[in-house]
Amino acid sequence: MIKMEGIKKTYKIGDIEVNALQGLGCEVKQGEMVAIMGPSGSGKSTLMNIIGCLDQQTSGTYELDGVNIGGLNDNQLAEIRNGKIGFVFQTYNLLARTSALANVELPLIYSGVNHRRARALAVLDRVGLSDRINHKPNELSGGQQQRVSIARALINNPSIILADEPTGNLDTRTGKDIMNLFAELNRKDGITIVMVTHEREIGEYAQRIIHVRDGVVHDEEVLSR
Amino acid sequence: MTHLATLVVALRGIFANRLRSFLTILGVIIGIASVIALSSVGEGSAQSIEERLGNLGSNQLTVSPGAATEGFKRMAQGSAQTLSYEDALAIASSTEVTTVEAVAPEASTSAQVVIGSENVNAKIFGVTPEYEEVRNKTVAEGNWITQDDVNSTASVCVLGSGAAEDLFGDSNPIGQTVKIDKRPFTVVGVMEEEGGMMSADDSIYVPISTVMNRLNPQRASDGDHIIGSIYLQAADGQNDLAMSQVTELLMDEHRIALGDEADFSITNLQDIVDTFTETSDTLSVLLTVTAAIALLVAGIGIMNIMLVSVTERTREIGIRKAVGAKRRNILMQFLLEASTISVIGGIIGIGVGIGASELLSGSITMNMSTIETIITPDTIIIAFFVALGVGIVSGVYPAIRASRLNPIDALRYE
Repeated sequence: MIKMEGIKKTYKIGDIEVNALQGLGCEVKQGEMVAIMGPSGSGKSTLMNIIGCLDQQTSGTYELDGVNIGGLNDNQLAEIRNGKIGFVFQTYNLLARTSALANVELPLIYSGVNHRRARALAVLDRVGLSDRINHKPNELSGGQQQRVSIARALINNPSIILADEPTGNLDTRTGKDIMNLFAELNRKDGITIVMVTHEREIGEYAQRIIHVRDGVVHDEEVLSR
Repeated sequence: MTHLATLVVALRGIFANRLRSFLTILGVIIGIASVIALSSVGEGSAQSIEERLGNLGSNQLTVSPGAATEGFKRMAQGSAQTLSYEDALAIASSTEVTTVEAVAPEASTSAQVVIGSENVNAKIFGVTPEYEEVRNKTVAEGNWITQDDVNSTASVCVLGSGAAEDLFGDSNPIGQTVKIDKRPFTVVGVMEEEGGMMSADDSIYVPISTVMNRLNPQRASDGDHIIGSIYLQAADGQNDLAMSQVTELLMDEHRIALGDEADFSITNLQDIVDTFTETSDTLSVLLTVTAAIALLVAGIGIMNIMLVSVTERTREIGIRKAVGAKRRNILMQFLLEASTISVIGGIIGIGVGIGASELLSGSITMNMSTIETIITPDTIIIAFFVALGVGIVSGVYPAIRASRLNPIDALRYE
């Protein structure tokens, strides 16, 4: 599913070069649920951006679903993000003043699907929000907003869901509910999930934890359930 | 991504910020409405000048007497009695004057005109047969003054449409008798209504000999018959040559040495028409420029709002890009938003402009007559596309900026 080898990412901030990733390699298999953990500045956000095709590596190879991402242009990256990847952000990133339904439909607009409503209703039902479809983000609780964003991530049947600190803004109880939803999506629907977190408790919902430090994979642990 | 979906997204953007969108649209409304209203005034004034002056004939020259002097005081041009019927005959018969096609002398006076109990004071013009053609007069009923009438100093008259109505109301005046200065005259014709500025509808025409010998006999010291003006019809495109030929002849007739001041003047009707047209053209240009400035301001307003909107919605753009929007999707979204604003403003502005033009119609006075505003379909079509153009032009830069945003930075934007 995900195959990364020798990934380097160098930023230029003014005259200073920052080496965020320094030859990182990792693999995620189809149907896996993996957590990426590491202290701040370890490069885990950069890694997420590259996996999510929001950014591209300076060197090294990244293969997603058998497609070499390295050689793609802006439009092709947009298509990959649209069709293969579902994003779940810490701050939900829903469109303000826009109903839950319209937010969930958003990726379908960009894939040119005309009958969006039925599919959006189905995924909203899947995340348990069928009674909140016309509510706008500011009328929903944090947990509900995160469910809307999970529904949005699911709508295009992505190969992979990328969750960046998905419980960072939620209380422990709601956070657990959300993690249970992820675990269920992974177990029942076989969706590959990669999440970034710095909470061990959240990381333990995954089957495997990849520890990143100083821009490389420092350690991997397989959790037995 | 379907076009309909893009349009819906753009409309949502407009409705999300109602007040701001409305104010921006208002700018376009004012711009387009002023274009429509002001250009209708310009168009109307041009048309009214054409209507009022076009029928006077552009080949027409007018010879007027010079200014009289009373002591050291110089009176108005035309106040002297220096033109004679014999001058007109000389122009007509001269072999030197080759570019004048017709000569129409005019001797005028005013007199009481009476029929039964109706009594009006009317301007009486003594004319010749040529007058009808040279001055573009049209007889509605009956006949114009003939050469026989002139030769026999006949007591016949042709009534202007207004004079006929005043004296006879609805009944037919032809063949009836009116008393002009207590003398009986037979009505032989009635003129078509002219209307407009310099209208002669209230005038009465009689043979020129009748004015010179009966109604208002005036003789110069050499026995010539004094008349008011001589109208000339120049050959096509020969106005200037005709003017100089006639000037030369009359200077000679009046025994004025070349280089001395003439005791008459010749005006060219085309010059007057040109002056009016020029004034009206200048007015049109000024109005158009004013309207264009209003539109420019509206365009700046749109661009300003779109730039604010792009900055404010950086996060939204980031989200859209993260879920798969391509550059061109974002570009189209903002471009459509800007053009929708301007097209809505344009359509409302066209309506408001038509309304304003209706209100202005007849309330503006220029050159002594009111202007009826005219809106041509061209104006409306041009206004619509100008509005669309303003939207696209002022939307392009903000839209490009939006489409180039890096999704990672855009998502982090607070």
